[in-house]
Amino acid sequence: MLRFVVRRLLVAALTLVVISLVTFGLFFAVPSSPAKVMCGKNCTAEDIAQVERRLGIDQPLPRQYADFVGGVFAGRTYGEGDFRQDCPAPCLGYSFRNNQPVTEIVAQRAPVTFSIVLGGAVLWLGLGISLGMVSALRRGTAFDRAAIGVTLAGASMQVYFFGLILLYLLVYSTGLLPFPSYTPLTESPARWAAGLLLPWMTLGFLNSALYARLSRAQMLETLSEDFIRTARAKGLPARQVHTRHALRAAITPIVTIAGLDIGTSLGGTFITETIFGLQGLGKATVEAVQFLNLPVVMATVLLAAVFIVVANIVVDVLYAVIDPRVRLG
Amino acid sequence: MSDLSHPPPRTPAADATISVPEIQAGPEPAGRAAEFVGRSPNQLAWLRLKRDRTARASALTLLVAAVVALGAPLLGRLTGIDPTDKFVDRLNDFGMPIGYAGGISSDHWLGLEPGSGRDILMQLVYGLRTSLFIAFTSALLASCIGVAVGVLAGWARGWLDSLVNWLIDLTLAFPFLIFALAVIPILQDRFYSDREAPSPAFRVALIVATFGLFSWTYTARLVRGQVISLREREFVDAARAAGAGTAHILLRQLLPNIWAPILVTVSLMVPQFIAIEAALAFVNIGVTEPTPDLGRMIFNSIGYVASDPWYTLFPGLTIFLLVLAFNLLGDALRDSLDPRSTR
Amino acid sequence: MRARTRTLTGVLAAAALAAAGCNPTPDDSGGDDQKTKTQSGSISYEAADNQGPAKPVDGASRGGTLTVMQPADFEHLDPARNYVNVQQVAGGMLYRPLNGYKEDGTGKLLLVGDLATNPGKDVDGDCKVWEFTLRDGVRYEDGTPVSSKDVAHGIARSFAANLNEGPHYIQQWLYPGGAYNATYKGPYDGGKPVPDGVTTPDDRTIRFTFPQPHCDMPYAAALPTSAPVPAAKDTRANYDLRPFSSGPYRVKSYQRDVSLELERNPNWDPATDPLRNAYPDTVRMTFGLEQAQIAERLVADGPADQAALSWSDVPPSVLPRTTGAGVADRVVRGPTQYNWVLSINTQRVTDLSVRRALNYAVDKDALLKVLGGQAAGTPATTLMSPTTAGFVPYDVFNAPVTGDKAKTAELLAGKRPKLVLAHSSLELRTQQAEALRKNLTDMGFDIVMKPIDNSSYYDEVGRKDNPYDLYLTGWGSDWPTGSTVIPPVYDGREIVAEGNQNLSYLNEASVGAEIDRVRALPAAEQDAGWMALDRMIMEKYAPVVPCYYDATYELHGSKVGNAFLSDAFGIISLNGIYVKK
Repeated sequence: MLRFVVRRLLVAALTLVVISLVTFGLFFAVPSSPAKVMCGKNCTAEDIAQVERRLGIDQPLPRQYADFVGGVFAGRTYGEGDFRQDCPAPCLGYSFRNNQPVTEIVAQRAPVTFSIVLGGAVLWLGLGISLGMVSALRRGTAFDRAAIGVTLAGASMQVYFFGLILLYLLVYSTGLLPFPSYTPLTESPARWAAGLLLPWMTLGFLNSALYARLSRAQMLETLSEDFIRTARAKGLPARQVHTRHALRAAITPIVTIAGLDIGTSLGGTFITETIFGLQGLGKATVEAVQFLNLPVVMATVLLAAVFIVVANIVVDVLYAVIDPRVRLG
Repeated sequence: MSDLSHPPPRTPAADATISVPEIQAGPEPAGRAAEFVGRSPNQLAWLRLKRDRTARASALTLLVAAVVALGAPLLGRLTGIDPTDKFVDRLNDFGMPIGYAGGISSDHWLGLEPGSGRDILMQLVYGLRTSLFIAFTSALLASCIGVAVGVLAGWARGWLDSLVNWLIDLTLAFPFLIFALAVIPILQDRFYSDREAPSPAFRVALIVATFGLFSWTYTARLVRGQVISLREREFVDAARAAGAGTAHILLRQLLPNIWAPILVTVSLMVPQFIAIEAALAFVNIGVTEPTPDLGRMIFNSIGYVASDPWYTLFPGLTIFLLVLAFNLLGDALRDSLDPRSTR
Repeated sequence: MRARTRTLTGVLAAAALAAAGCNPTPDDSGGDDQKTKTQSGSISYEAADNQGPAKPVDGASRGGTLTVMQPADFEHLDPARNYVNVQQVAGGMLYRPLNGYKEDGTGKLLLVGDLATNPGKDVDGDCKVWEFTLRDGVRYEDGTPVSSKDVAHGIARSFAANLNEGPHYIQQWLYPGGAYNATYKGPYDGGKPVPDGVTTPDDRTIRFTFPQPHCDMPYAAALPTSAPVPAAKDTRANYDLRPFSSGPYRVKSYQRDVSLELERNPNWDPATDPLRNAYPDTVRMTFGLEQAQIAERLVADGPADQAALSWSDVPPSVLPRTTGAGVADRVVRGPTQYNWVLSINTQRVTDLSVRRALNYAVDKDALLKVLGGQAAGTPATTLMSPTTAGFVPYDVFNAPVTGDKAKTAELLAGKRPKLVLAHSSLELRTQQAEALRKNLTDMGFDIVMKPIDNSSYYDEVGRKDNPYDLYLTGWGSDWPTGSTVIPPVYDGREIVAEGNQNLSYLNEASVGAEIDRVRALPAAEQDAGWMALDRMIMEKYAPVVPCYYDATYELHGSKVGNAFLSDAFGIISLNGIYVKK
């Protein structure tokens, strides 16, 4: 187990290095320069050169990459003379746009995305799995058919469409719910939940559709397995067969997908954040790319990659915990 | 993930189906039914599919969509309207179409676009063409890459297999949206001089390529698994013993046994590409004006849901029906290919 | 479950029918005709105008929290780096430049002294030496009095290369010829504390001595670079996050990209301030919502948004919903100083008849309708906008607003010019360009559309050797006189390799000579001089197609009182605004 985790971590580190290199490279292939974007109205070539020096993007590419990596592990110094700014490790740099430390931006944005995803995940996993399980157990009944219909409709709906319709029906025209906003959980759990209800409902409904379909299929498959027949033949009560045996076997692939899904979403749910006006990581990333704000792009891209890579490892480990047949090596 | 910030391979919609058919692959377990009539599993699947009413209905919907898309120029000739024609005089001072229900009239059957004054019907049918084309070619491209990489990894094993596995992890961890945002403009600048308009086909090709590049991983994993499980089977051994080359075994022995799950993947990838293509418009990297595009049309129309709901309704309904039909067909396809998962 | 899905669609369809299905959309729902407001920007030395406190607003009450919802955070609040109208109005709550604009919503715009007792004394009557006397009793947030040395420091630091985003009129006038900061680079890293030509004989006086006459100094002194920054409180690059307050409010908290909260500056004395009433106790600015979300919320006027307003325009998709009862009276609309023109690259399109043909061909109506029709502006025929002092409307071509095909064909005389139309890749700009492409193609041109990423649009078209023929560009003057429109945008001698503002690259000696002549005129005759030159350029050279005078269309909540459009900034003014009880 330990060997497995260590090996996976090494590979993950390699993945992150490659991703950071590609992102860095991509950024410099973009035709316009961030210095021009920042310089404002009437900017001479000299002003632009000055801004480039200030941002540190006048250096050769490998040097800049080395500076970036150095900053992360040892900290670095920006600017010169009276405008020196020390950035202690782990230094992800300063936002090109407003000179805010990138670590601060991430610390500000990440909780928003986390709240959206975790709250939504509880809803979509709970709703989806239970719906799928029940409809598998009641295969062919009206409930099952209705569930299949709703889940198909849900799976065919897009977040930008569904979210907007909810906004119109529940916020703009009726005022039943407040416009989504983010209040830190530590400040007021009630306001935190109230402000995020709408995105949770949207993600919950759309994704639960997918999970209901998935878990129904898994459950049906498992129920036809021999070990279930054996358990039934031994005379175990139906509930015990379903929860202890069938559910446990059926849930393994769901864990895989849920893990990867959550990992991916933690890196940013751009469209959900945009539709509901929440300042999460996804919005930060896309805005940063549009403003050619390299330090923020690097930080958010790497963070998103870390979530995915870690989710991958976690899923593999969980797999072994849940399913005794799987051994890690 | 239905947030759509990411390409299909991460979405479980496809996964719901795929883990199932793995078991029935290979000619031997061809089935209990074969004993009576002697049909191949493919024939059986086809029969089952034909009998499925939902499948027939969804196939019909898709057929209609395809015919409409292909016949768009004909419809244009019929109505005498070009998709880029602007009827600005039919818009009021705010740029909203004049008249009932978003400007629906005998000339403009689905009304006019606010702002530009274009005919919604023409935009819709031409846009359908673009979107369907992008979705289909992307799904095909992704599957081709996926099959090639999957077969290679499954067959070669060893370091090549590890490399492919790592590549898959890398692709999954790389943010698709960021890549698309950065790369599409760069390439466009590289290939077109300053005084040339980027050809619409080029933009479409770029989108397809980006989709393909990020969406092969699922198919690759699937195929790799299948190849690994099949390569030890007796019929492969038999072929090898009979002196067949690797190419023969891969193409003639293995591939025919794994096409079914691949087909299901393709059918479920298409609707997701349609949805994601629309999501690209959110970050302004989709298909550009003046090429009509369903995705962009949806994006533009969403804001009008309260002020000109008809404009939102038509493209929205189209994409919903399209995606629903593909999902239903994909489900039916899976069911028919897998005798055990009958509903 | 299925039934619920159906209800959902049912409600949606019902809402749809109620909203638009049952009544035809009329042709004239755009509301009242917008009067082209001609503004007379004038400088007032009257004691009554220059005296604090500001005149109380009828029915106004003190207190409450005013919210300003903005799509994006300010780029800069540091007075040296502040060059965008929303930042200037926000900054005006925190610091006081030497001069300011006094407005009451009736269209009267007066330039008066803000920090200074009057808009500046032209010491020798030749516009070369300007003296400002600071008001007595103006204090910073910590209670220390504002000194003229702090104004000098503010000017000095605006020369620093690291704080270069602001306007540089005064800076350039102090050091004419070459870049404004070629010689003096600010007070940092051992630089002189004050630039040449700036002296502070005592704590309440500051004097500027320019090598050349600059009669526009009172206007330039209304820009934020003349706000006081005490050297002891100068945090350089971080000043952006927390400017030291000399105005009615001070920064309570500032979370970048999320919100900026202002609270009262207890040391601000209303008796020293002729401009600001400062009624609300708190001003909260929130960032990050889309324009449409802001507009929808303000239309809905929910309890949380009733004391809110936004400086961003209502997007086209929400416009039709702003005409109903209860919403229409919360709309603030009117012209801004921006004029949008289709710049013709005269280096490439050298044939005057083609440029004239373009002036007949362009469908200005279609361009405007993409943005929301008359809410977004009115068709233009001149180079300067109607908000410029001394504006007189004229139309050289007298073409219908949708274009004149016969005239265009006549001028083209059988030719079919191939022109490259560059446009910003923003969605609405792309749609405008597509409208233009279609329109010009129908009129007999071959148009190639060339999208440019929005972030580098003005950089690209601002390169002298840019390969494009046509591009839509907007220019808004920094103060309402022709001297900030005609010389920067149409003087060929200003053309440089990169970063141009003369985007049609018109380089005619006769225009240059005229500019020099008008500049030398007595201040009172200049306005008419610029207007005549405006017309002359269009008649003789047609370097652009004037497309539309920009207008703004903003909303506020039902509890916001005295919200009117500032003519100086083209957005809702905060100076006399109040929250209704």
